[in-house]
Amino acid sequence: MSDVMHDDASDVKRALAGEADAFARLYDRHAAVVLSLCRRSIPSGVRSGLAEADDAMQETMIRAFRSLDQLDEPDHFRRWVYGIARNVCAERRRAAMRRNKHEGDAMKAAHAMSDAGHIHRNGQIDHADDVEQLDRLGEAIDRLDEDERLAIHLFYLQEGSAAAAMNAMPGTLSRSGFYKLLSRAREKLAALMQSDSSQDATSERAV
Amino acid sequence: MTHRNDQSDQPMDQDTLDHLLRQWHEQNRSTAAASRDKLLARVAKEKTSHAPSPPFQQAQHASGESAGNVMLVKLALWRMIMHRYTRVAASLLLVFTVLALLFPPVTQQSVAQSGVVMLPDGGRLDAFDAKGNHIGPCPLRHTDVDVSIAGHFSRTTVTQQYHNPYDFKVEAVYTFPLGHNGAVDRMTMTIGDRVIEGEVKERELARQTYEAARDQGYVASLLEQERPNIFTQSVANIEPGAEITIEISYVEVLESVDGEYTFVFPMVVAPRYIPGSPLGPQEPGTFAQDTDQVDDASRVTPMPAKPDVRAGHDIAVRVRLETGGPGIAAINSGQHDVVQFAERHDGEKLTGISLALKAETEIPNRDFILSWKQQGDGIEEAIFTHTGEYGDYSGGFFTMILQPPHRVSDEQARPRELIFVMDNSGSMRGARLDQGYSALDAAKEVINKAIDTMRPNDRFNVISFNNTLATLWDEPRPNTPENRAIAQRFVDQRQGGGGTEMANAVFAALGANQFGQDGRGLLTAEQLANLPADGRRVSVRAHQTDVVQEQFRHQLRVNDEQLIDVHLIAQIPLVARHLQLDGRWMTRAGRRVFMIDRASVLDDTDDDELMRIVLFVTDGLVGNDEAIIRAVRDHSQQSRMFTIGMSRSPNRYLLDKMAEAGRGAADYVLPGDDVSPIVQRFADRIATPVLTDISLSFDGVEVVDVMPGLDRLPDLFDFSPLVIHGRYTDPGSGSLTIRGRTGAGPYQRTLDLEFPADQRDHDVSATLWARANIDQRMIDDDKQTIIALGEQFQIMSKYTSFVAVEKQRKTIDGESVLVRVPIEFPEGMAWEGVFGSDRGNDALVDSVRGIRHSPPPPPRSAPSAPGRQSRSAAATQLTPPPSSPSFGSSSDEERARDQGYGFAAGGGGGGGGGGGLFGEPGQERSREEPMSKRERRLVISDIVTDLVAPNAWQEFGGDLVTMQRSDGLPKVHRVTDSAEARDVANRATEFLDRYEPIFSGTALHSDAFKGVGYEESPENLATLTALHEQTIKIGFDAVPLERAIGILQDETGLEIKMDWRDGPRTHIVTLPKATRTIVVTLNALVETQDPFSKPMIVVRDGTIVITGDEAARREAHVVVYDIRDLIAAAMSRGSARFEPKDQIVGLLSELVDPYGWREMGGETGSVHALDHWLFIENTTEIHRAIEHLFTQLRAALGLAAEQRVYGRAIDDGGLPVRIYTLDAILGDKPSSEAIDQVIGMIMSRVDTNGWRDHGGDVSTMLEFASLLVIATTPENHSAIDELLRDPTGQRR
Repeated sequence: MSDVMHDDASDVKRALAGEADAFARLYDRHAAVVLSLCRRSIPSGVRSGLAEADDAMQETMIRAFRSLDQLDEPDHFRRWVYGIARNVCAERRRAAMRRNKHEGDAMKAAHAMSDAGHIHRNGQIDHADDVEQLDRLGEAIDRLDEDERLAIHLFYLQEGSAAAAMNAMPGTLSRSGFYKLLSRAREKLAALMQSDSSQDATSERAV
Repeated sequence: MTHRNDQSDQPMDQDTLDHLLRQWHEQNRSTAAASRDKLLARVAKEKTSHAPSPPFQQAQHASGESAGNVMLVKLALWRMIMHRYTRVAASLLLVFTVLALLFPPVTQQSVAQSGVVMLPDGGRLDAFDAKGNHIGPCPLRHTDVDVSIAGHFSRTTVTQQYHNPYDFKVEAVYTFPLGHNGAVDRMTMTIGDRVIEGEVKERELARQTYEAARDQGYVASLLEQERPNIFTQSVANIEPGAEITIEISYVEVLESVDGEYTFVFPMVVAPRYIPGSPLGPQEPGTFAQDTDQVDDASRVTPMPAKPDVRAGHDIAVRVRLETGGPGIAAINSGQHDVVQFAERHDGEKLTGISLALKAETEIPNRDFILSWKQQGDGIEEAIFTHTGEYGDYSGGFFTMILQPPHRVSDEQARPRELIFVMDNSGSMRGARLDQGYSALDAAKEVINKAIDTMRPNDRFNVISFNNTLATLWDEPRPNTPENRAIAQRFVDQRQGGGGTEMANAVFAALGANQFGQDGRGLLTAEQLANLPADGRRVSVRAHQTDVVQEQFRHQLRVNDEQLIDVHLIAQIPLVARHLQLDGRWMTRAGRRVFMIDRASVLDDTDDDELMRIVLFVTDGLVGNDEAIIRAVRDHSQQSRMFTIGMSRSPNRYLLDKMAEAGRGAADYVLPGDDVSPIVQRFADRIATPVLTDISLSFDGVEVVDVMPGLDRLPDLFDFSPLVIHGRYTDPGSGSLTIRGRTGAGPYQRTLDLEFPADQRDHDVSATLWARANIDQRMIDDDKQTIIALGEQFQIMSKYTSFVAVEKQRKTIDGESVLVRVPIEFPEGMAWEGVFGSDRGNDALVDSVRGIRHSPPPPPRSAPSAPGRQSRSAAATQLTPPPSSPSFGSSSDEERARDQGYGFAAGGGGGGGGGGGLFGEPGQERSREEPMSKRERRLVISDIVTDLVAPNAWQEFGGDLVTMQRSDGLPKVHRVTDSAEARDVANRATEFLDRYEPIFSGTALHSDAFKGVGYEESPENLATLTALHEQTIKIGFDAVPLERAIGILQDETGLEIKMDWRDGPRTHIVTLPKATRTIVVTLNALVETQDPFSKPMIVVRDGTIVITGDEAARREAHVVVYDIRDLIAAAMSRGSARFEPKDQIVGLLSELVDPYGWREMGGETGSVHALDHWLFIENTTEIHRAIEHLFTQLRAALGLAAEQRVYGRAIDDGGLPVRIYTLDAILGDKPSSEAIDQVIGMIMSRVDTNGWRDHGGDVSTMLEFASLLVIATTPENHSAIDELLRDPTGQRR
């Protein structure tokens, strides 16, 4: 077991014992990955994806905190919290889909507004091109398999440390197995991104 | 689906990708970091409080948010607002507050409170078929308007060219306006060189004739009048490529005011507010449902095209103007550029002009208005006579156009009471007259200026209305500088938004309430006695001597025989005067009592002298015209009603008729108009009418049916001609005397008349008389007389229509597809102004209303699906909502959002995103857009690539096969020549071939295929029955799972296999001893901490198998479901607010494996829709559940349903699903409101906190085809059952 996993287990125990910093460490270690997982776009639209994902991440962490005492194997905190994230996101997607069904137009209005050129996010105005690229990347990431997605997130969020990322993957993977997974994911992404951009040029978008 | 690409491309280079990935993840990292402190603070708080925590969503409003957090809270709010059941929550609120009103009993009355906000929900460039499907460009190609003005009359001929660009027959339906004073007396239909004259028939008969001809394949046309100024043209059986021309012609009397003549040709039917509660489903191609107040709303609310979209047809106008004598002084066409191409002179005088619209193909989105002045200050008087045979009305007709006296100032200023009424509804705010100047701004300016023109001894008050009424003061106040300032401030503060509940404003302005006739809204004692004593507040007018006292009891005298008990809380003044008694009319101990809490002296003495004047400023864009005109007529005995219309396309019919009924005058503020002269004209009109109290007397000649009457003539407020129509029975000579009052005193004028025995010319006199007569009869809705007049004079009316049938030739080849021709959205009107409101309360109300209007109009009737229609119809309706209106400015956006414009406009209703069911970002195909061949091809490619070897496609980074377009279905090509590639290619080709009839759109029935839907084998059925029905009493205490399963096998005799590769085989289970079904027992045993690998209990080849996601995924297979019957049933029964396919998919996604759908982020299942087919890839278990759900739905809908699978429907939480029909309490076609009420009622009474859509985590409720599909606990089911049986709860 890596240090990371050991830390999780002890932090879970400490958090249960009431140590606030312990949960903060758990948060620091996993929130970004959870958020990345939650960024899997929902039908309400990519543009609100980040804020939506932030909400989902927070909900996930709160739920995790509340049911920490039900976690039998503190070692498995990471997998467990990913599982919660998955449920939270599925619920939210359902809600969003329902919302979309009923108020789809309003969301489209939001799209129309942001498509007009700028997007307001955290008070900043991002350049439309970047936003577009990143959104497309988000869409491409959505199309990866679950393990590929996780590999990508872990790799980029562990400061490029493949070893840490590899250890954080559920199941057992060899180093070459992890790299294989990672490179497959990146190849897929590259292909998707290209195929997307050419598609954009030819598709008549409604908004 | 956008991510499919027809040609292959180079992948993005890895460096760029790496950079982007870093950026993307950095966003996540910083976002997570930004949320850290807040979240930890929350966690810390939870820890210390130990209290049950509030729902998460509410937890985010911590103070001191950073900019990001503000955004987050905003989004959370936005989400809350956007959430469907927040609106249900809003309705719940309403339900709570008005529960007493709603139940008992559940009647139409119960929803009468809610108005209907009219909501155009998206642009329609093109035409739609009967299913509401988009089929392409609209068949109305062009409209030509030819106007010939001669002297006092104009004849307008409208030529509509219909063209069918499709390769199948179409039926075109087009709603359009014509001048409301016009008598439409001619319609012809031209096909090639054949001209068929239309015939006027009673409306129903005309429609029957038309429909019979249509169904037999004849080319036919039908012109119906929906309002005096709104008409509908239907043309049936337009053959492919055919051109059909419809010519409509009408005549009207020109209007002139103070020497200025005006000709108006309305070009667009502006969206109108439809009050009342809906009666039925919405027609496709319209934006409002019929309501109890406007029963033909769907016929007067054609769907406009979005402002940035053209409706696809245009208009040309040519005018030939001949004064017949006087010279033309100045000519002006305010809203359109015109070119003058000919002039005619009589000596020096310009007596004739020909002109045309400068743009040869103008967009019909604003009224065409031509005004000119004639030289000389007189009015050319004229008397026309005509004799002819017109059935019951044969004989002579006359039309007189007479000059009134000139205006004389009134020396004695009578005291006046002025009531200014301002429409501040959304349409007023939305209509721009000029840059940054809305109709509402103009209305404020008019009223503020009008206030300034009052005389010192006037009294006044101000009323504004939208959904609600705001009255400045309880009663009019004197015209003092202070009061004026208060009033003008009040006016300035009015904000625009909400509906146009005009009738209430009319009642209020005329001082009447809905029960009383009194000019001040007071009832007589007799009227009071006839009202139910239900605690209502009333004001009664009585003389002091009518309040009698016998011993200690007070009574109010109704008449000589009847007395009403009175309970006096207030002191009755002792002076013998008329009193106003205010109080409650209630029933106490079985006796009706009038509880008087206020008694005041009515100052009657001035009443006779007091002139009460109402100035009504509005755009008149409502649907209940006649009711409002009637209200004005019935309540204006002591008042005069003046109207000022403002909009580019005001409802002139209503505004003119309100003024006429109120014995006032109408005026209009148009774009570019300075309001000052218009206000001054109003001041002049009320200060010094030209001629009032007009009466006519004929001597020496017998006249009948004089229009508008012999003694009830409208006052002349302007120097306008007096226009009189009538009939004479005996020819001969005589005289006419006109009497009236001017500012200088009595007025009298006598003219000589000569009525000839035979005058065949001027038949327009007969037509205009008949038209004027119909106008009068309309107010009382005298249908029989109107039909007789319409038929005998061959003119249009509400009850008579023109119909033309080409009988020479019959078209062949099936039914024609209905096409509604979209109209233009009126220029200067803003989409956002049509809804939304500025105040919270209204926003709430609007949001509740919005729910009924947000969805796109779904089809009403079951699809008649000839092959062609299927092909042309959009392939999937599960695709996304229509594009929303684009907003004008960012402040508009925000306001609109804050005001709930979102839901109002939230028309979409379409499911998720692109060609899939749940939406794919980046692919937002509006459902209004046609499913082009290309799109269909993409959907097909999508289905094939997703369902056959998804990783093999080059389009998805695979390297085995690719999809290439071809003329017919797409073709599969191998990229590499490996055995694997060949295998995939073969499978994909087989798949394409197998479902070819579906892909090509020719398959109509499931009979075409074997194995549509899921079918169960007998072995599986037996095992399933055992699994779900057999019970066992068993418990385990720390037993390894495998052993527990073994014990269970032995006990039950069932074979249970473990195929749970990822699962912990050494899982230790503990289960208290209890009696459970086997499936429940198994589920409890495999329950695990690890949500990643929760196993499933499935039945495979007659064996129970415990299997993980992975394994289940391996055995997923495709089943095609035919949901045509469900869609059809939903269309005919549904509340018509959601797209049936969306609802079906919603049911699947909510109730069947909600986390499994790939489109929803799951791993297992996938749904694709094409026409009425669903391609579902999923595991056997899920197919089973889907089939079962469909079976249940079919059974509930009364469709023949064969039970093909075992099942009890349970949702993923193991809760039983039941389907409730609402027929018993709501009838078989309940309105959306009624359904909402039931939903609200259930959610408020049963499992209040458990609804998943409402923050709970237990119950789920979905609506389909007026059924409610509910997953909840058995106890809740019984409670719901009981509630639906007995909504009032009285029996409990």
